[in-house]
Amino acid sequence: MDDILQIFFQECDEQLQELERGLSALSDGESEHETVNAVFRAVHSIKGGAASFGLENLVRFSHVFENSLDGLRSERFAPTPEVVKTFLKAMDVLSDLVSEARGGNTVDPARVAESQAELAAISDSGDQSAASSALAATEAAIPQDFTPIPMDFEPISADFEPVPVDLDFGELAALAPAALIVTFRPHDALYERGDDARNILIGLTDIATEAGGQIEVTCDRSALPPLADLIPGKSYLSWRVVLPADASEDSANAVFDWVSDTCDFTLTRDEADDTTPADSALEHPLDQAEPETTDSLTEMDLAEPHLHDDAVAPLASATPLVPSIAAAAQPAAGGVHAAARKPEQASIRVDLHRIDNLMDLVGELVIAQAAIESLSRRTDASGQHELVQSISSMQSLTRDIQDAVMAVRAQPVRSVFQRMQRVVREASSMTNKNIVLLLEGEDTEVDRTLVEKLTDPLTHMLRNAVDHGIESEEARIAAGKPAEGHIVLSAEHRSGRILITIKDDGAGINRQRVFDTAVKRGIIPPDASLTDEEVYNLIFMPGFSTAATVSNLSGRGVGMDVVKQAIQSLGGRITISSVPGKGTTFGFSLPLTLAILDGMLIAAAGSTMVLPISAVIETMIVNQRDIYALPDGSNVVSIRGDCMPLIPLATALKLSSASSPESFHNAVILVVENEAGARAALVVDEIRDQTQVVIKSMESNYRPIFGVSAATILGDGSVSLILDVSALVASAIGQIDTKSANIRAGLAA
Amino acid sequence: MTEKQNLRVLTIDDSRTMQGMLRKALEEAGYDVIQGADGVEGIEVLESADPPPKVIITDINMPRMDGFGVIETVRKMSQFKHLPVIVLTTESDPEKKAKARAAGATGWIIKPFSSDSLIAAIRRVTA
Repeated sequence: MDDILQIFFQECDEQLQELERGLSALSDGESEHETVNAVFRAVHSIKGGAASFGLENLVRFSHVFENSLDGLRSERFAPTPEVVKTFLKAMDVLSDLVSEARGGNTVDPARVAESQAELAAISDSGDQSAASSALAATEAAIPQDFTPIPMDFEPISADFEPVPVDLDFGELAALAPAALIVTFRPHDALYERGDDARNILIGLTDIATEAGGQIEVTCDRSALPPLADLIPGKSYLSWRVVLPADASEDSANAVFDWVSDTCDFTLTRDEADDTTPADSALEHPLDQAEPETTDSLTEMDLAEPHLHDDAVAPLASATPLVPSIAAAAQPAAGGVHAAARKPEQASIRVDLHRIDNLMDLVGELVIAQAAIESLSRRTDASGQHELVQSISSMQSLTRDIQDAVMAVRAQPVRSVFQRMQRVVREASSMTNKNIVLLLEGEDTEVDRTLVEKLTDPLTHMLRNAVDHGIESEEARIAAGKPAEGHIVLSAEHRSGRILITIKDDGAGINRQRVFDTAVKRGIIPPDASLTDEEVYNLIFMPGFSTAATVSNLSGRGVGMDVVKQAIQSLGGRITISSVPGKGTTFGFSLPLTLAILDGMLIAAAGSTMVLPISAVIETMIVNQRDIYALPDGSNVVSIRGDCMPLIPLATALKLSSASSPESFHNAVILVVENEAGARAALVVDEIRDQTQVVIKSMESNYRPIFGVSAATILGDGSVSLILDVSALVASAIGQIDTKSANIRAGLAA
Repeated sequence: MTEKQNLRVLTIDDSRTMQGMLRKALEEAGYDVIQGADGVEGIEVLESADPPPKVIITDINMPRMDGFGVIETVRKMSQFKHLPVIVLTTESDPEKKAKARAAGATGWIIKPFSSDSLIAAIRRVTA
């Protein structure tokens, strides 16, 4: 059962996402019927599953929620902003109850009750009649009508043996004093609905067997027309069945549970029947059955309702047959509606593990292929031309496979983005701010491992934006801004990477305050001269917090550096821009995949290293007259009038000592750019090749090293380092990143 | 229990939880289970099943085609129009039942169901 419970929780997550998507659409003013249906279905589904596992809190709450949504579905009220807001709140509670059921934190019962009351109030407002609102209120308090109703038929005994059912000449045994007599006459509809009189007879047989006896059956064939007039599928026969005295009426009733509207039936425990001579039944079985099954039946139904359960009584024999037949024959509303819906894409569910495995294998394939390639270059085999051609077509196939696997793993960031709505909702209510989160580019696809790992950093950044980014309502009004704050969370693909930005229209980062705090915390010396961006970057330093009052939301002094680490470990960078009074924009630039990289193989100080091709702007041979030495010993190079730091790679990585400007003459340089757009020129010994490499993390296998983002295995089997261009560029431009990287390296070591 | 060995049951439900529970309960009782994830897929599975199922158990609330649609479709297929169809419903509400009945449902099972009640319901129409 555990595995099914896991499936249930997984499905809950999906349903909650569906719910969030639907409610967001509703809050954006959409009122499509299918959206409302999907929202209803999501909650309904959670309730259904929860009931199966006896998760009572979840069942109770989702039941009230569902009731309320049903009001929306049946248009008893409209999805006004207040209604949607209540639903959103209820969704959060529901989500927490799911976590609770999963073994997470217990949800505050007061919160549940509050949301429940709000939902009931909505249902109430939609219900005009006092009676139904009273009902809704009762339901809200104790949804008793959802008490599982067990199917009230007795389990059929396993050791059941077919009892001969003699349709015509059931041998009448001596009747017990209070034998239970059942008569029934199926309507045509009983057969049209896939049932059969045989099923009923067997059901009654089982009851008799259980009571330790047998059944006596008499079939009335009087209505049977001559063969020529017989219409197949029409009901002509009726039966009279005598059950032993011990047979329970409830069980017998239960046999007719499904056919109360398609079968006339009676149950009598008639002692008088005892006096009916067995002979007479044998002699005139049809006569005897006739009155019982027709005229007297209706009367008995009315006269002795106690024989039927309440639900059955009003339906019995009162429901006309014809309409139900007509309904079955014609496409009714439900069917047409269903057919009109747009087809969805066919999909299958695949174990994630298998896809990960496939990705690993593709990685190995890339390595193996590189090995063949490097081998082919070293051998002077005849037919080498063909070999090279084959290898090149294999190369393009490998790349196609890789793209295909990536596409399988790709997921829209929507799921994470939508979760942020809740984060912002909760954070704004805690800080008493009125903030709207707008999402853009939710359909942007990235590798699923990335999607998952984005949740925490984004949560943190958004809380921070709500807490520190957006000003209080009074401050906003005083500044002439709209009282309602806006945060835009967007995603887009940009040159082989995904760029996620969090933009708020708050007060912007207070440069002076950040600077002062950093000095106070001993992060920078008081006389440091820093650019705006460098100052902003200070907030990502460990132990930094500018919150004047430590709120319980985000100002705990841990966090921003954790965000930075998380993003960096994904191979991403953070950029910050801020305009005083206008707001702050944080950008996360992340690779699309964490597995494979297009790299340029270069040599420095005798080692082969890999540079991500996406970072390389151009390659050239430098002329010494374009190189200028700076007083601090570093050099800059002017390329078409642009000056940028010149970084001798071997020196930067401490593989060799500092070199003189003269040594750069005719050296190969690569112009590289980091996410912030800052450029630098890397001096390397030579460019060796261009290839795809499989990324193997250094941090998880060794420890972080400045200037190196990961390692890989090359075609010849050797291990090579993948360079961290951004760190190299940043270290050349300012000292901040080197410092933080060193702190990080120090902490990890 | 041997007499129902390999008796084939088609279950249609968009909830994988429910499908998992149905499969487990039915397979433990010796039934052969085939499944469809919504009405449309359920009908496809029904049409291509060999041997065909002896009974269908379907959910009501489903995307693409709901349980009522399933029943109506089945009742219009000449080879299956007498096939027992049992609806799974959390609603004990008579309206829903009446609607299912009008569409041609043979019977219903109220969720959450016990294994026993599920098997009893199937035996009720396939004995």
